[in-house]
Amino acid sequence: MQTDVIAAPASRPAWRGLIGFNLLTGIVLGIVGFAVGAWLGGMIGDGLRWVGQSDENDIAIFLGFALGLVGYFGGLGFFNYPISRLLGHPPSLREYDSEGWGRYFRMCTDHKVVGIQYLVVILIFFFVAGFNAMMIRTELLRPSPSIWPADTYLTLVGEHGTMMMVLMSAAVIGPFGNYLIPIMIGARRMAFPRIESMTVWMTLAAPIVLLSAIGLGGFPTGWTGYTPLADQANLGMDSYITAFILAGTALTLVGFNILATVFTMRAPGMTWGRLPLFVWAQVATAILMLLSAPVLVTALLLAVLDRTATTTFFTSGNGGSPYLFENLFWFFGHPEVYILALPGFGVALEILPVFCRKPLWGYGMAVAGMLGIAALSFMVWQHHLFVSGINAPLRPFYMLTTELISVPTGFLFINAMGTLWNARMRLEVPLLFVLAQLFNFLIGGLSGIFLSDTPSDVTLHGSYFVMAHLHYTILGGLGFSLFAAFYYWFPKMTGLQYNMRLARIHFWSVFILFNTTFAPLFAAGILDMPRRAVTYASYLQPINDWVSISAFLLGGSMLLFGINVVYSWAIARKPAVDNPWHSRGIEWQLPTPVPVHNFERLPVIVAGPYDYGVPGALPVMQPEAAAAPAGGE
Amino acid sequence: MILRRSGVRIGLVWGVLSAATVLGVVFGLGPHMPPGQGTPQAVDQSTTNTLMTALAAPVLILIPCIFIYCVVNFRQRGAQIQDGPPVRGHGPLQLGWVAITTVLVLFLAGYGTYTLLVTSTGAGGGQGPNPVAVPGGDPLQVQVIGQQWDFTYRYPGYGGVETTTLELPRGQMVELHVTSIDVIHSFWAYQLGVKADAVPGTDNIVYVEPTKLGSFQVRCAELCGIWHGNMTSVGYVVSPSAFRSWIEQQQREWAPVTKQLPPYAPAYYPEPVVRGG
Amino acid sequence: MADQQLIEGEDIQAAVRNYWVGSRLWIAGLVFYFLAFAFSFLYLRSLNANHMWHPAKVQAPAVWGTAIVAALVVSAIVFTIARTALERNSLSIWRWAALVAFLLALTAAALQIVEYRELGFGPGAGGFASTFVAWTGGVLVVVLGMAYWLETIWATSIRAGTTLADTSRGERRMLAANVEGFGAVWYFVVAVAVATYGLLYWVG
Repeated sequence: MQTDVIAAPASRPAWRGLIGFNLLTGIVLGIVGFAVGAWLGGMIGDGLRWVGQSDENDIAIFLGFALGLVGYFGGLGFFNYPISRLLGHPPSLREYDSEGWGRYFRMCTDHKVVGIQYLVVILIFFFVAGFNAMMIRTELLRPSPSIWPADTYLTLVGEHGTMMMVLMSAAVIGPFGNYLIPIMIGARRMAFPRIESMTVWMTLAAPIVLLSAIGLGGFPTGWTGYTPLADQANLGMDSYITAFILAGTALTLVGFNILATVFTMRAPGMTWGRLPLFVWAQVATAILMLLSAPVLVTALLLAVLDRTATTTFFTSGNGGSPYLFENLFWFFGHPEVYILALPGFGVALEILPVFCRKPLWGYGMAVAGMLGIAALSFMVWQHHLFVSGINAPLRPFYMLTTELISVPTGFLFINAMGTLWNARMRLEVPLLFVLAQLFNFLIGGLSGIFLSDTPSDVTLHGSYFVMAHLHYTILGGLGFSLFAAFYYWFPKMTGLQYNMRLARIHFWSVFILFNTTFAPLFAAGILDMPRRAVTYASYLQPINDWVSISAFLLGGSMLLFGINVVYSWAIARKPAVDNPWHSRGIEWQLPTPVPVHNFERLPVIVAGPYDYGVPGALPVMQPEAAAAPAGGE
Repeated sequence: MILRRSGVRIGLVWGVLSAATVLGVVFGLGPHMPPGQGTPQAVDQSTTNTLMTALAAPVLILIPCIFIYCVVNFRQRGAQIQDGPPVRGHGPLQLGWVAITTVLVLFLAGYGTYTLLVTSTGAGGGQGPNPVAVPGGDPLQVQVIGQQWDFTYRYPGYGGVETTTLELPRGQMVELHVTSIDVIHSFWAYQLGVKADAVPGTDNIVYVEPTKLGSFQVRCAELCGIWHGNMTSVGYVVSPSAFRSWIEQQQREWAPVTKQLPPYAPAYYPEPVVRGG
Repeated sequence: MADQQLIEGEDIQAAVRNYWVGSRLWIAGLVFYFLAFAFSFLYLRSLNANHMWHPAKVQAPAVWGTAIVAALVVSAIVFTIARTALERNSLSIWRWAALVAFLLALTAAALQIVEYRELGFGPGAGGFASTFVAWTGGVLVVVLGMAYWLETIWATSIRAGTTLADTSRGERRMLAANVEGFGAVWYFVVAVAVATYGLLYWVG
């Protein structure tokens, strides 16, 4: 057994800490790599006839991004292990047992550090993309372009949409999944901890690469990146493609790692029937990630080839078809929609029993609902293309499969209502967010039925109705569940209390303002306002002004949340008790902060996680496995 | 017993609210439901929109009713934590819920398929080059060409003349061939209840039969570049005789241009945007 | 107990299972990665937009394709010999055969790069030409990744030396699990490569 001891000499000056494999080195090498790649790409481009005919050289940009990312990951230390394996060294896991800030800024294979890294990355870029939304709403105060040029507006729309999609895909599964899944199944770590660590640094790199589009002339396509508009677009499109490839790769790896972890690392006694629903939801999500994201990566690789190597996948005049991109994109894109929903249901069903002080109502049904949604979501993607002119004979099939998804989704709602019924409810902030999440998702889901039915979709497709629908499911559903999860698990993850009063104000303001912002957009859509348009009919100005002002207030309410996070985490630092919610969840039975190896000894799981009020219920785990090896090294 | 009484109370409130809302939706909102009554296709869409709203409303009322009732009645405060009854499910109720949602969903899918294929020949959505719901008779052919950032219209039955506004005769089945010569657009004639993507290299066919005189709004419904929002115009449904004189005038007016146009084709392949850089 | 060995802070049984489960999950992900290429092929072929799917002058060079497929298939066969040798504990045969299998995978990748230089048509010469370049490139990337994996296994077994002979040791069990997992993915990738080149050359 090999252990790495990092012994630092006591006299080491502070600046020496900056040197080594860490984020700073990663950024420096990333910039160097970009410069080298762009220079190389320029050299290659000079020799190519078709690049000479154009005034832009995408090869230089893509090569710059590629080498920049190599430098970034190399600087973070991700190549040390692969190179040592190449030389035949046996596996050895370097864990940063030592406390301190440093491990949050480098590759760290402790899943709890990764969870916190994810949380910070997600929150930072959530505010960046949210700020984009504020700028979009400012422009829409007037029916014609008034503040930004029309192309800047489209770049803002694209940045907002793409960044939110990238982040929200990881919003729950990243911070909470990585932090909690090993603990909840009674393991010490993830199955592939280096891959786990890599995904968070990819999730950090993706929005930064995406933001570089602003310096490269922006991109006009929104988050969907439809060709041939993308083929026309200038160099900013390359940022979008690279960022989404990174995000797609990260999604695949996250799904791979979580599935492997749950399959192999469960503690003795953690049967499938005792698995917390939060874990079940992440398993269902991970299946979608593992299987759908590779298709996105391939689709975008084809787009890269179209832009650099003169292939004609998406050019109909030369043997390609724009439908190819639409099909591949939505084959990923619809499972993606459930990647954005299922983790939130996991949070909701995990939190409900704790605050209702009752077992979850219909556990098996909930699992069936989640797996049913996951399975059906692969068979519905052409409902995004009902008016596109492909496969008219298949429309009834996609209509049926899409509407069938509401059946397993309905399972989850009756689970929630059954748990609430005759409960002994403690109306804490996490529960408030869960109830609001279910309410919002209900509106989102019911409006989705309008879009699943071809005749009504013909009216609504491409309008603000769709935009309102997706914000109700993603922000209203997953976003609210992110807040619920944050307020529920923050005391465990950081060992600190947040300001309860501020949290309640945040809840009521965000719930009310969310609905006043997005509900009128259903009306705007049905009154023929197309999405992503910088100009709109003047009779829609009252609705838009109302929505904009409401959106600014919503942004202000999000700031309350940001203030609460920063204040509680960085300034007040009021320690929390180990189990403030009196939860039976395994994570709450551990001391706060959770030790590096989670469990002194591998636990044996002897009861289900939701046995509230069950007479004579055993504690969920016994700390010691009879035949398990001693912990630590 | 208390629970049974709770159920009755929720049921009463829900029943009254739902009945009022459904009546309001059907009789109040229904006649004004977009996209209006201008074509059989639009009528079917607005009927479907009304039906969906009427079916969604009771669900949308039921679940918050239960939430609010539970939050008000099944709540505990204070330091002492009590646990609730350890009920893990209710087989018949779960089965019933699954059955009801499945039946509703199958009904909607069946109704959607019926309107799509039988009553309104594609419900105004683009059906692609090989439509499945085809009307009888001899429809008027009009080609809709999307380009950044305007729609133009070609009438192959009238010498392939290309016009900048769309005029259609009332009471005549129209076969729109939607295509594009640059990027993907979506031809959205709001009051006609027509939406069809204009995809380069594709002939996307829509059937629509205007039954009311008047104007309709044309928009682009698929992001197509910076002036996507400005890609609007107004089209007209006119009487057959007015249409005939209008199209003859257009033919005369545009004759020099028509000669220069490429011959009418279901799709045009401009020089591909080969982008190496 | 033999199972009380820890690998990377975790019970060795879990570590061994990770190889098994991880390789199968990796196959599942790869299925969808390749499906996207296959879909592009079949979709563009059936559309034949502007009659530009496969102009007659676009002819993929069959010699190179056959050579690449042959190298991959032989690599899989040699790898099977290596794996069987490891199971029988004949370590020297394992080392040589694994090395040959690795070099054959690299050869296939090198041949693919040579083929790109000898294509006779550009990637812009229609739908088939585009799909040909992209799909073979997609296979090439995966083959290179698999070659890396095989090299790490081989290098580990060289460095571990004679300690590997003891089949009850953790290192040996990990190696066996690693080889088994690699084998599953490698057979899958070779099968996909055979199907890919079959589609591209015969169906066209």
